[in-house]
Amino acid sequence: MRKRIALFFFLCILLFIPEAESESQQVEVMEISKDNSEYKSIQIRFSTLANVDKYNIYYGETEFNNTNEASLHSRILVSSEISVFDEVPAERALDKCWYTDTDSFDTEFLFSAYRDDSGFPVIPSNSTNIVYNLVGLKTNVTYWFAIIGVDGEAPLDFSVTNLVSGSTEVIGEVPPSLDKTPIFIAVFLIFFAVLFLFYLLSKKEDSKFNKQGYLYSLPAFLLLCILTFYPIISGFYLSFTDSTSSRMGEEEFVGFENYGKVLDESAFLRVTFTTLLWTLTNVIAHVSIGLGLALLFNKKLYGKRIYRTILLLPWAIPSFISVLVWRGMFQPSGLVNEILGIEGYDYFSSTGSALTIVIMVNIWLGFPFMMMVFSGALQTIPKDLYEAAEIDGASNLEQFTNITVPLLKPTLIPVSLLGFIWTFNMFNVIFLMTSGGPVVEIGGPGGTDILITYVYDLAFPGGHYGLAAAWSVIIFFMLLIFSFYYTKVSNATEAAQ
Amino acid sequence: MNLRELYVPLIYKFIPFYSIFLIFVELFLYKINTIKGDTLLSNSNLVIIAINMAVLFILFVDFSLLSAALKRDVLLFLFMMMGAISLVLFVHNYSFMNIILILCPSLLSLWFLSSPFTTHWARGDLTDKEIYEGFLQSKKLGPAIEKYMSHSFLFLLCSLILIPLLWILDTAFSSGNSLSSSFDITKWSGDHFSNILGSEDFYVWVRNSIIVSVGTTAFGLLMAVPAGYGFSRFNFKGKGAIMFSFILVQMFPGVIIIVPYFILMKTLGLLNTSIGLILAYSVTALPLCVWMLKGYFDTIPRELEEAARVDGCTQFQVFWKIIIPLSLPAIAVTSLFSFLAAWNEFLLALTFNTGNENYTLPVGLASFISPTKQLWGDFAALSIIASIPVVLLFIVFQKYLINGLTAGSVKG
Repeated sequence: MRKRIALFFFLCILLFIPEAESESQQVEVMEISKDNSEYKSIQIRFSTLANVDKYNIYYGETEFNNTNEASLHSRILVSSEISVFDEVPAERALDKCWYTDTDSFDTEFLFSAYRDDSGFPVIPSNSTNIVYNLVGLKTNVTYWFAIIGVDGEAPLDFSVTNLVSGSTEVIGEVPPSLDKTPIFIAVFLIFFAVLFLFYLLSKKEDSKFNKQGYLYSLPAFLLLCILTFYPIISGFYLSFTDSTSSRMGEEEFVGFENYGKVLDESAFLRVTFTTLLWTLTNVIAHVSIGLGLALLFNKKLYGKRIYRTILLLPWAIPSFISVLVWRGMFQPSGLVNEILGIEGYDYFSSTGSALTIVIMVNIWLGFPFMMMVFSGALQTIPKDLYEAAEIDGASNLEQFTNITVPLLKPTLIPVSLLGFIWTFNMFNVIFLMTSGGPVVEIGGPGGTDILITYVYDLAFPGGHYGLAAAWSVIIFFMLLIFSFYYTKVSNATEAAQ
Repeated sequence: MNLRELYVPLIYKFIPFYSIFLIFVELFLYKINTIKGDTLLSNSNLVIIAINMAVLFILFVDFSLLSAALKRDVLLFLFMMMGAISLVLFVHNYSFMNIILILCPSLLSLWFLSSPFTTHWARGDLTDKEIYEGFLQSKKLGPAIEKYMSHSFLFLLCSLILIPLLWILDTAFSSGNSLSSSFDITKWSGDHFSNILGSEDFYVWVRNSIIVSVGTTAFGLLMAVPAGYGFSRFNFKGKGAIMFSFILVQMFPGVIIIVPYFILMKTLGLLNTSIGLILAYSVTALPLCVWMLKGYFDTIPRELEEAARVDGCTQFQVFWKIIIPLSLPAIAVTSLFSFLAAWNEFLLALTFNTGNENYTLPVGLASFISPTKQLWGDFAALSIIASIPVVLLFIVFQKYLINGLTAGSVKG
């Protein structure tokens, strides 16, 4: 009996123990560092609060009084057991966060924050000051910030008393120390070198008539040299330096260090594999769907023109628009989930589904071109070949393998190789759909990153120009080998004709 | 010979395709049902996948144990099982997909497979060839099947293409910026369009895009027409190498030279200007333009020029007064091509422009969808406005564009 009463009282006490409520407080001391704010990022510095397990940084383009009017930019986690988290080298993380346990903001006292599995910065609980670079902002916009220290669950609305504003003006963008003369000299040198080359060539040319050819092709070739060949060569040079967005013009020669970094990274093979998977799947699908449709349209079919015009639409609509439209349809609250009756599933959260969707969208975009090319080529095949084959009793399949395929080869091989190069270089789809996400490893390429998009990420939000140039050079050689093969094969087919 | 007998070889040819198709569809449905958390449906999807694997296995693997008749009976059994499963699912869960994808085809196959004709075939009384020839003799049925198959396939494909377009139309006209679509025409309003047309940004972006595209076209042609002519008419030393350098450039994406490009533009003070973009776009489109024009100039007979020169024209006069007027159609197509390329370009415009007042239409459009704000309605309206002229131009000139592109790429 007593036990029961004791149990009863115990339960009553349990009922009256207040639920652990979340507590939030706003960070009061906060400043924006003007010197270190760049044209797409803003640096904020603030002192830590006691009894807080994370900081939520809210921002908006207009002033706000409550957190529900602003958007959450990022969060910084606080942990007393810092050793369980990864130590990520500062240059690998896109957003930069430092902590210190002194009062000073000097760089020598600042330590780079740790990272948890999803990439959020984690700082030890004994730190006193935090420096955080907010990235991914737009240029020339004034933003308003508030930092809320939260213990437990973050409240949905929390009224904010003092906001701090910072702007991403372009002033800091161009370092005044940048020495422009070498580039000007280079451009002029190229200009005169091309002129001299053409002069020498025209001296060698005997025919007076043909000499005029140099004059006609000179302007285009000059433009090509200055705006394409020079950047390629200067990219080679950059790949041997430690150039970054903040150290342009004062970079140092580091030899093969960047290449070592690229090949050392485990992600190199993964990204190359993703690129190959992406390219091959797309090209095979484009060619087979395109060829199938072209064969279908080669026969008499009611409403052929209408079908063909509709099927051309993915090619006619600017690709960035259709990609963004597909992205909208695959949003958690978008049309695809609505049709399938799923609630709030995020297709871009796992590598498998994100990659599948990206590939499907590119197939959707690319098959009309192949269809049109193959319909053009099919029309050149004489019809009496098929008639003769039919009289000889050849089946449809035999006709296809023995007449259509051999006669299509002069188109099929160069077009599929061209498709390979185009797909390899396709930037818009992945960049606009997923921006390379989901995160696979912090600071490394994402699950859907192909070589091209990763290089862009390294160069522009990241600012690692030297490293990006090294990746570019490697891609350049991959494509160079491929294009030699391409010209060889297309020459061979031309010779075979 | 009735219909059922005629289709026996067809159904035998059709079964593997149907099974493979069904495996893919069921894998897809399995994924969706696991997301939904519906274990009954996802398990039944797995069972149907397994059955189809078994069907494929029996059809393609040659057992000495199984005679043709036994094979047929096993197939019959498997199809009956599949039909039964989908019937049970239909009764319990009302899944319409099951009826279309599984129940109807499996009942049909049952019906076909159980015909006396199939039994003859299975026993070896009739060969494949005999049945197939019998089928071919019917001139009416074969083409009819082919026709319906192609129409249904094309219809499916066209709807896949039209669904996103209908969605964007619905999003543009329905009020609010939500993504859900009701396709309720009565609630349509032009709010987003008036938003877009009323904002200053829109006119700035359109102006920038027009300046850049027209500038690219004009400057690109100024470079490409003489070069194409030079490559077509003259046989000068080093021509092969120079032409090869033009092809080579076409292989390399803008991204891999984007860092040095960016630095070069920054040094020359061309960031945030239209001139920078015009230069960059013209050089990107240059190789293809040169190639297209060279192809066309090659078709103009040389005798014309020779006659003009005999009459006392200089070479430049020949080029200016004879060649250019004659090749106006090709020049028009080339300029359309470079105009469209510049109008649709996104990457360089994003990288070289840092301020809203320099954005071109693509970059402006993409800025509607950012982590901070997702204005899908305004985005939809603007994308309709931005793409209609392009799509119309494209459809009207599709034939020329395709000819030009393939001439440029295939022969290169």
